[in-house]
Amino acid sequence: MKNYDALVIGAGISGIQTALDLAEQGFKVLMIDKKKSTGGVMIQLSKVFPTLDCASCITTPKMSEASNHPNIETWTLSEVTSISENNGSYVVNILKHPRYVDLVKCTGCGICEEVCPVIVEDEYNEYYGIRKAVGVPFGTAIPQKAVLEPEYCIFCGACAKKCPTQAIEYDQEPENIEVKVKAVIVATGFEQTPIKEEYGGGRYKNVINALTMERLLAPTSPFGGVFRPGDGKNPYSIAYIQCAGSRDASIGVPYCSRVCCMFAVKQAMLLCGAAPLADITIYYMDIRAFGKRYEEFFQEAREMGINFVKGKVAKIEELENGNLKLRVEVQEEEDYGVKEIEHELVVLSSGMLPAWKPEKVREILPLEIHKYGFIKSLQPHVNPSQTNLDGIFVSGTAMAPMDIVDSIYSGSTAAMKAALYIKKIKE
Amino acid sequence: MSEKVKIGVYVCHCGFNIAEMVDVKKVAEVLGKEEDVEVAKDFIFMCSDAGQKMIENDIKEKGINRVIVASCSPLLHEKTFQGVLERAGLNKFLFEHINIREQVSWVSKNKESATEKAIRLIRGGIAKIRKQQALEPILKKVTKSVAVIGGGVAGLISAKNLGEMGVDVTLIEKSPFIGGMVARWDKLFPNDENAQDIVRKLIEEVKDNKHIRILTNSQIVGGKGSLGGYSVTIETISRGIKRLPENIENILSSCPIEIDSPESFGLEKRKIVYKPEYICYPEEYAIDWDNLSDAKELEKYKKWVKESNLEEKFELEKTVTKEEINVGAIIFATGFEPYEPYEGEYGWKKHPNVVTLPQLIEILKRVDKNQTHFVYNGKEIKSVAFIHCVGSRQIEGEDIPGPDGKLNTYCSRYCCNATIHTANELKKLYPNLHVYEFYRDIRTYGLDDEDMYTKASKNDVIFLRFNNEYKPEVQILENEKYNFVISVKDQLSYYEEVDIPADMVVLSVGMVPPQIDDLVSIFTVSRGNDGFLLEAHPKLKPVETSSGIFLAGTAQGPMNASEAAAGATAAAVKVAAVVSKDELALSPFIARVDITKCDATGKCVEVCEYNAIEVTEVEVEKGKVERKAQVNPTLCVGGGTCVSACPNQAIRIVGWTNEQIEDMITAMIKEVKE
Amino acid sequence: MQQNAKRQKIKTKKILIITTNDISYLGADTAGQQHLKYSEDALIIRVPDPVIFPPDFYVRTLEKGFGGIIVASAGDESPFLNSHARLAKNIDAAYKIMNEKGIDTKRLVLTAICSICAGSFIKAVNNMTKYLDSVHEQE
Ligand SMILES: Cc1cc2nc3c(=O)[nH]c(=O)nc-3n(C[C@H](O)[C@H](O)[C@H](O)COP(=O)(O)OP(=O)(O)OC[C@H]3O[C@@H](n4cnc5c(N)ncnc54)[C@H](O)[C@@H]3O)c2cc1C
Ligand SMILES: Cc1cc2nc3c(=O)[nH]c(=O)nc-3n(C[C@H](O)[C@H](O)[C@H](O)COP(=O)(O)OP(=O)(O)OC[C@H]3O[C@@H](n4cnc5c(N)ncnc54)[C@H](O)[C@@H]3O)c2cc1C
Ligand code: SF4
Ligand code: SF4
Repeated sequence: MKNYDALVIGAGISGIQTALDLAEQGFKVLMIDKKKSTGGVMIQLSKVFPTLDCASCITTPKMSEASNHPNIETWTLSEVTSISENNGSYVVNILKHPRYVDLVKCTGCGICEEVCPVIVEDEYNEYYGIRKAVGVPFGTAIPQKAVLEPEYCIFCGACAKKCPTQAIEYDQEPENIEVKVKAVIVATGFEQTPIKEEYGGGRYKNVINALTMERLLAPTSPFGGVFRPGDGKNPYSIAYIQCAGSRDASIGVPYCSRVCCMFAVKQAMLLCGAAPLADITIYYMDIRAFGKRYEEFFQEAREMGINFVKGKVAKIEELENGNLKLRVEVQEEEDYGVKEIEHELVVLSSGMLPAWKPEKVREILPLEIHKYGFIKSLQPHVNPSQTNLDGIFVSGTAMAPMDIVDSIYSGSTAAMKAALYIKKIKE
Repeated sequence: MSEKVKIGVYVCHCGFNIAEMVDVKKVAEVLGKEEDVEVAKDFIFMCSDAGQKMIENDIKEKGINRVIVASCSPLLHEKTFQGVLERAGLNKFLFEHINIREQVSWVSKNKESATEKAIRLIRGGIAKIRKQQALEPILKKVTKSVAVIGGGVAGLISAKNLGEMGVDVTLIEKSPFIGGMVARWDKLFPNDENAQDIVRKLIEEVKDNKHIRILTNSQIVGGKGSLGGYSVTIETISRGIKRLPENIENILSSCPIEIDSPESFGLEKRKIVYKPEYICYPEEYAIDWDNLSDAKELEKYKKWVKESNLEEKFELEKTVTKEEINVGAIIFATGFEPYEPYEGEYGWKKHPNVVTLPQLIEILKRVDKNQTHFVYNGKEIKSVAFIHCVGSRQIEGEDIPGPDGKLNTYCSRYCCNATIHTANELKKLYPNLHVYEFYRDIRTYGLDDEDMYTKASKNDVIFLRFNNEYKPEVQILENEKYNFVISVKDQLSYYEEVDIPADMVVLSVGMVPPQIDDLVSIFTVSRGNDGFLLEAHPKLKPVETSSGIFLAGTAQGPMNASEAAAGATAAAVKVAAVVSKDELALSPFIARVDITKCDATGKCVEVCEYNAIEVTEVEVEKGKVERKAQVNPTLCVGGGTCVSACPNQAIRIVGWTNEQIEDMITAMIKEVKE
Repeated sequence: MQQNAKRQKIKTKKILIITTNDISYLGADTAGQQHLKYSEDALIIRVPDPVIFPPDFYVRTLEKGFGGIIVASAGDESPFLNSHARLAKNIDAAYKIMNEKGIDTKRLVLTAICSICAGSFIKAVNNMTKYLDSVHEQE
C-alpha cells in the first residue's frame, strides 16, 4: 500500500493551493480529482474580478506547478470510495476510472481527436461547444493527455490506428487503489444551482447560466464570441438576474452565494468590449461588492454605463422570436412597480451548491454537515478549516460559497492545519 | 563561455488576446531571421503544458541556450517559463520575458503598428539576452525564527500556528495588552460565539507555548535585512508598576489624571493607571505613558505619586529598553482602526446620543440586562437608527475627503453584518424598541449571514435604502419627544421622503488602516490606494508583499474575524515554508564591482542607503592588496544607485548591465522591414 | 537655457518608456488590463530602477533615434530608498547636457507611476505623443 502524508480530494484552485503549501514544507501529497483535468471551475472562467486577469493565466501556473512538484502526485478521473481510520492514519480506497489512453505514451498531439467520427457536446464549454469522443479535454488541461469516453465511443478503431504512439487502450479497467494517508483535505468545491422553474427550468434557449457566459466570453469561446445560443444572433439587450438561485428559501438556498454579484459586474464589463452594442441591465436586490477592490470595481462598472436596476424578477416568459419577457418588480426612482421588460438574452447569476452531496459524503465519512449542505467548519473564528473529525480538513467552496481569493486563503489555511496534524502524528 | 549563442523565440497567441491585435505569425517569421535566433515559433497558449513541452524539447533537442517568450506580463508567467528552462537543464536566467499583451495587444488600435511594436520589443529582448550570463542564486542562511507584529487575533493566530510548528516566535504588541479588537467585542456574528472565550483560549495557547515570546508595550523601531535574515530593534516601554499596591482601586480613586478611555471608545473616563475590563494579557495594570507625554500632565502624575507615597509602587517616568533580535521572517498583523467621523457627520459630536457601532457594543455590555427598557444617559431610548457605510464606499463629488485628502472608496466588509447582528441583539433585549437601518446595500454575504438579515426583518427591524447622493439627514431636536429626526428618500417606498424619529443614532463606521508609517518605511512595504498594506498579487501571492514581508489579517484590508484567521493562518504556512529551509535562494540581480575599473573613489558608499557597499582592502592579484569597493550580497537590494554614481563605470547590476540596455535600445530603434 | 545652440531634429516619433520592475511596469500593465489605448510608438523597457543610468545615457538614446523618453520612476513607492531623489539629480544633469547640445528638454520627462496608476501612465504617454506630433509637423 502506498503511503502519503496527505490526500487532497478535489484539484480546484483551493485544493491545488493546499497541495502546494503542504509540498513546499516537504510533505508528500496525493491530489485527486474526479474530472479529466485539474483546475476546477476556475480554469473555465474567462477573466477574474477584480483585476480582470485572464483566469487561465492565474490558474495554469498553479496547475502546472502542482503537477511538476516533486512532492505532489496528481490523479485525475479518480474518486474516493471509502475512508477508514487505522491507528492514527486513514486507509483510503480510490477508484481510478480508466482513461483508455496510456498516460505515458500519449503526447497530447490531438490526432485521435481529428480522426474520431463521434461528435459530443463539450462539458468544458458548458455543453455549448463540441468535441470528439476522444481527445485532450481542452487547451490548458493538465494533464495534457487524451481521454476516451466509452459512453460515446463507437469502437471504430480510427483513433487507435492513427495514434502515433499506440497510446489508445480500449481494454483498460477501472482500478481500485488503496493508499494510506495521515490527513485528508476535502476541497471538492461547488456546482451551480439549477435553473428555477419560474425562469424556464432550463427550457428557454436564451436563458443561460453565468458559467456559460464565462465560456462565451473566454478567448476559447465555443461560438467565437457572444451570440445567442438559440439562434446565433448578436444580442442587443442582455439582462442579468441576480440571486437567481440564492437568497431564496423556497428553493432551499436561503444563503447568499457571495460571488454572483461580482461575476455579474465583471461579465457586464467584459460584455462592454465583447458586445459593444448591447445594453446591459443587471436586476439586483443588493450589490455585494465587499472584498478588496470590489467596491471600486462596481463603481467603475456604473461609470461605464451598465444599467443597475433594483428589482426582483418574478418570472420569465419565452416569446416566439426567442426573446424573453421579464416580470420585474422595479424599485427605481423614475420607474416604480411591476413591469414587463423584454430582453434578447438573459444570464442567470446562479448560486453555489456543494459539489460533493451531503448524502454521498456521509457514505464515506461521518463529517458534520452545515444545515445548508456544505461541510461544517467547527471553529470558524480561529481555525476555519477544522471539521468535526481529527485529521480531516476542509478547504475552499466545499465549506461555503467564496471567491477565488478566499478559496486560496482557505486552501493555505487547510495546509497549515494539516501540516500541524501530520507533524503531531509523526512525532 | 564560448558556446555559440542559440536563441529560441516563442510568440504566444494567448487565445485571441494577443493574436487579435498582433500578427503573431509575422512576428515569428521576421524574428526567425535575426542573428543568433535558432528557432522562432508561435503557439496558441505558450503557458499550457503543450507550450511548455515545446520549449523544453527545443532546449534539449535543438540546443537552444537562450529563451525569449513573448506573451502576457512577466508577472504572470516569468516563473512558469523559468521553470521550463530548469526542467530542461538550462540556467533559468537565460530567459527573457517580453510583454506583448498588457503592453502591446491590449493597448493598441492598429494591428500593423502593434505587430511592428512587438517585433521591436522582442528585438530588444534578443539584444539583451545575447549578453546574458548564467546566474546562480545567492544562497542565504535562514534564521529560523519569526517576528509577528501586532497582538490581535490575526497576530495571535499566526504566532500560535508557527509556535505549534516548533518555530520560535516573538510577538510584538504596541499596546500594554494583547487581544486586539476582538477582545473588545461581546458576541460575534454570525453565530453569537463569545468573543471573550475565543480570545481567552487563544491567549492561553499562545502564552503557554514555549516557542512564543510575548512582548507588550513594544514596537519595532529599526530593522535591516531581508527575507531569511533580519535584525530588528525592539523598543519596550516599562509598564510602570514596580509593585502593585494591594488596595489599588482605592488608591486610584485619588489619582487626578483621568482621560476618555480608549478602551470604551471614549464613552467613559478612566485613570492613567489602568487595566481593561475585557479579556487581555498580561492581566496586570499598566501606566498609560502615551497620555502622559505632555510635560504638565507628567508633573501632575509625579506629584500625585509622591504625595501618595507611591514611589515604591509606581515608576515616576517610563523606562525604555531596547533589544535587538534576529529573525528569518516578519509578519505584519497590525490590524485596523474604526473610522472616526468628522464633526457634524450625521450629527457626530453634536449630540451625545450619536454614537458609533463600537460604542454601542460597549454600551450594551454595560446595560442592566434585567431592565426591559433601553436606558442611556438616564433617558429611555425608544427608537434607534443605524446608518451604514459611514466612512466607507465614498464617491468622488458626493463625499468629503478625509484630513489626508483621500476618500475611503472601499467597502469595509464587516459592518453590514455587525450592524444587523447588533440590531438583532437590541431587539432580543428590548422587543418593543424601534430599530431602523439606513443602508445602501446589505452585504450579508457569508453562509450564515443572510439568516441574520432575514431574522432582523422578522424582528421588525425596518430597513430604508438610500442612494449615496441623497444621504439621510440627521436633525437634532430640542426639547421634543425624540432626540432626532432622520429624513431620507427611501428607495423601498417609492423614493418618498420619510422622516424617522430616533433617540439614538448609531454610525456603522468603517475600518481604516492604523498609523504605521514608521514601520512601513523601515521595511519598505507597499500600500494600496486605500492605505492598507498591499499584497504582491491578490491571487498568486495574497499574503506576500513585494518586499518580503508577510501580511496577516486586517492589516491588509477589511475582514471579519474569521477571514482574519484564514489570512493569518495562510501567512503562517508561507512563513513555515521559508523557515523550514536551511538556505534561501536570493536574487542574483545585485551590484557587482569590476575591480579593474574601480579606483576606490567611495562615491558608491556615499549613495548606498543599505550599507551594502564599502571600500576595503581587496586582494586584486596574488599577494597584491588594494583598496576597492566591495558589495555585501545579502544586504544589496540591487537598486543601483551606486551604478550611476560611479565615475568610472565600474559597477553594474548583474543581469541588467547598462551595456545590455544600450544594446536593447539600438536594436529597438532599428527599422523593421518585411 | 541655451536657445542659440543649433536645435537637433527628432528622427522618429518613437518613445522609450523606462519603467521599474516592481512598480511602474505594473502601472503600465494596469493600463493594459483596462484596455486603455495609447500610441504604438511607445516602447516599454524595465529595469530595477532607472537610477542606474548616468545622465549621458539619455542623450545617447535620443541621438540613437528615439523621439522622446519617459522615465517612469516608482516615486515614493520605490522599494529602493531615496532612489527617486537621486534619479531626479541624474535627469537634471541630463537636461544640462541636452541644453548644451541643443536638444529640446521636453523630449525627456521624469514622472512617478505607481503600480495601479493607469491614468497617469496614459497621460504621460499621450502628452509625449502629442508633443512629438506637434514638433514633427513643424519640422
Ligand atoms: C460564473 C462564475 C464566475 C466566477 N467568476 C469569478 C471571478 O471572476 N473571480 C473570483 O474570484 N471568483 C469567481 N468565481 C468563483 C470561483 O469559481 C470559485 O471561487 C472557485 O472556483 C472555487 O474553487 P474551489 O477549489 O473551492 O472549487 P472548484 O473549482 O469547484 O474545484 C473543486 C474540484 O473538486 C472536484 N471534485 C468535486 N467532487 C469531487 C469528488 N467527490 N471527488 C474528487 N473530486 C471532486 C471537482 O471536479 C473540481 O475540480 C466564479 C464562479 C462562477 C460560477
Ligand atoms: C464594531 C466592530 C464589530 C465587529 N464584530 C465582529 C463580529 O461580530 N464578528 C467578526 O467576525 N468580526 C467582527 N469584527 C471584525 C474584527 O474585529 C476584526 O476582523 C479583527 O479584529 C481583526 O483582527 P486583527 O488581528 O487583524 O486586527 P486588530 O484586532 O486590530 O489587532 C491589531 C493589533 O496590532 C496592534 N498594532 C498596531 N500597530 C502596531 C505596531 N506598529 N506595532 C505593534 N503592534 C501594533 C494593535 O495594537 C492591535 O492589538 C468587528 C469589527 C468592528 C469594528
Ligand atoms: S452575491 Fe449577490 S447575486 Fe449572489 S446571492 Fe449574494 S446578493 Fe445575490
Ligand atoms: S459592509 Fe455594508 S455597511 Fe459596511 S461599508 Fe460595506 S456596504 Fe457599507
